[in-house]
Amino acid sequence: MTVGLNVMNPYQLPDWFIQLHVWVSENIPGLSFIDIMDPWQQALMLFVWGVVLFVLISFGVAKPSVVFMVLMERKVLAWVTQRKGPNRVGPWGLLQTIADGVKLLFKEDVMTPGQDKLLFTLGPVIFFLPVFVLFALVPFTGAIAQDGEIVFGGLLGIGLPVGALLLFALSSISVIGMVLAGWASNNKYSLIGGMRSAAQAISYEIPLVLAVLAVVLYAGSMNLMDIVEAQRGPLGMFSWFGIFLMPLSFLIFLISSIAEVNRIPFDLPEAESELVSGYNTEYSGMKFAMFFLAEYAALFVMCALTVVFFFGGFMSPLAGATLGGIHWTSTLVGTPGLIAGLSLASALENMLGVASGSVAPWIIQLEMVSWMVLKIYFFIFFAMWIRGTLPRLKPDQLMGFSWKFLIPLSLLNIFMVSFWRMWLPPVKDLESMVANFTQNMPFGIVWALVLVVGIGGFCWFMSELQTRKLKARFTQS
Amino acid sequence: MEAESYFHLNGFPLLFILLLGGLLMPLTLLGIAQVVQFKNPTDLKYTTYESGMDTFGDAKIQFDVKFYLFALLFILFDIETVFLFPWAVSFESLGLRGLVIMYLFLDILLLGLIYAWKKDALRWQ
Repeated sequence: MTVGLNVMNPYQLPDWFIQLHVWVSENIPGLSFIDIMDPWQQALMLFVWGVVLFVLISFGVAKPSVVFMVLMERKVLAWVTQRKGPNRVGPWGLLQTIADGVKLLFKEDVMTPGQDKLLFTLGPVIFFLPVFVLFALVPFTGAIAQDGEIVFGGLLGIGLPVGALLLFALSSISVIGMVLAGWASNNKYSLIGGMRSAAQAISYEIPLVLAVLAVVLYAGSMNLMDIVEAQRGPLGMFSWFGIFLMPLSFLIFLISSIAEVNRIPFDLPEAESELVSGYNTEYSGMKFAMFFLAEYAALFVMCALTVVFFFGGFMSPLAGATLGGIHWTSTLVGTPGLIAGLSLASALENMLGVASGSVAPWIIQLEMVSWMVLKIYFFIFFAMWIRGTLPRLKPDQLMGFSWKFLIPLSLLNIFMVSFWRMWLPPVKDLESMVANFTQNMPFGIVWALVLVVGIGGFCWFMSELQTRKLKARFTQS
Repeated sequence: MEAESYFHLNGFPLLFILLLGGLLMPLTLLGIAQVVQFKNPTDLKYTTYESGMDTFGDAKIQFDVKFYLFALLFILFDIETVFLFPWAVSFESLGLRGLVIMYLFLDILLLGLIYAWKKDALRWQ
């Protein structure tokens, strides 16, 4: 067939899915009516692929990782407090979470008479709704191309040009679920928890989005795959501009992402010591399990986003250039011509002395997904470590920290990153990078000065303000 | 070039199918739980849990006005970020002029934040 790929496959279904359909229509006699060119059948195929994708994501990625994370959290917290953690169900307590899940399924679903039945049920459903879609938007591996032709499209559910924006739009849907749950419970603790969660989520979303804006500014795209690809460079991990050029936005993102998923030290909506369990006090059985599941899934997605925006996504931290052999050209549709230095595969080929490009694509995919998962679990561990270490904030401190410190700081960050972007544009090869840097050295020095003076001055000003306030309060009383 | 234009839309139908799945899955789970769960109703179980104290009054009350103040400010800043993203994507083509205009825009917003701060709208009491 000499038809272009897009006419044949307007919805960008995966290649193997199309090939399966072609094979079925040609080889199984009863199913010869299957025709890829028919628009109705294309739409039907899209639907089937959507269902397959949903099942793959929810049962293949989201649920196993949540099951593992819950156990990991309990184990890490146990180690922090010098306990052993769950170790009865299965070897090393591995089946503990599954046992808990089955237990929750059989638990009675208690509803008190004063509750709004419909909204009480809708709360966890809305909380749960966007989580799997968020998983679908995270690129777990990149595309592999050989001689300009894509061999494998990469593990990515949906590639969208507005991925970054859509992620935040979707993740803020779950707040509605929390508020509904808190209000419909007819419990004062739940109500306070729900309202606090709304206030917190809207306060911390702005610094979160502004921190990502700095990354988008440098990557020049909102597509998550493009953002990862933009961090590919000759310097290996030092090309991850997210962390090395704008550490400030990384810090802002880290703090506000922990606040967005309501974890200690920002877990005001479900503070055990004051609100029993916050917005899910009245929930039991499967509804409670859904809150639990969605919370951990959201944590996973947030850590995945930290990796994608600031830590080079699925790329290895080793430099492709220093190991030699840049030969796998990863050509993304829309941004062709980026050069991939997939280091381990290259190093393997160098070591074995085989021709470049002879390592099978699936090995490279495996390498990429391993890096991604490793980095994600590092940040998940980090969040758990914080939970075991830091005390909880007070509500007024929480709101003040976002509005009076993080938002001005992230605006300052945007000012500086856009200045930097203007006079030190991102380049792909080492020579022009060096040339650019030496040419723009004065600007670089000015920028560094602005950074140090600006951020230092801002932090000094804030602490001075706080000290004065405290002094005034003490002298009064 | 007609084929290229598909690229900007191809993900969205899939997205809506996934959202539908995200809606159906918890409903199915709840349905299964309704069927298999053990029911053992006692009077005390169906009372509101507020740390064991007797509950008084209704929890469906009016909220404090401070929530609305923060919500208003949030809407302002959220719209600002929506304006900022297209600028960030097309930074290259807008050039210095775009940078200066955006600096002015951000300055005005920063002034607004400082004004709200001075008016004590950011205090959580």
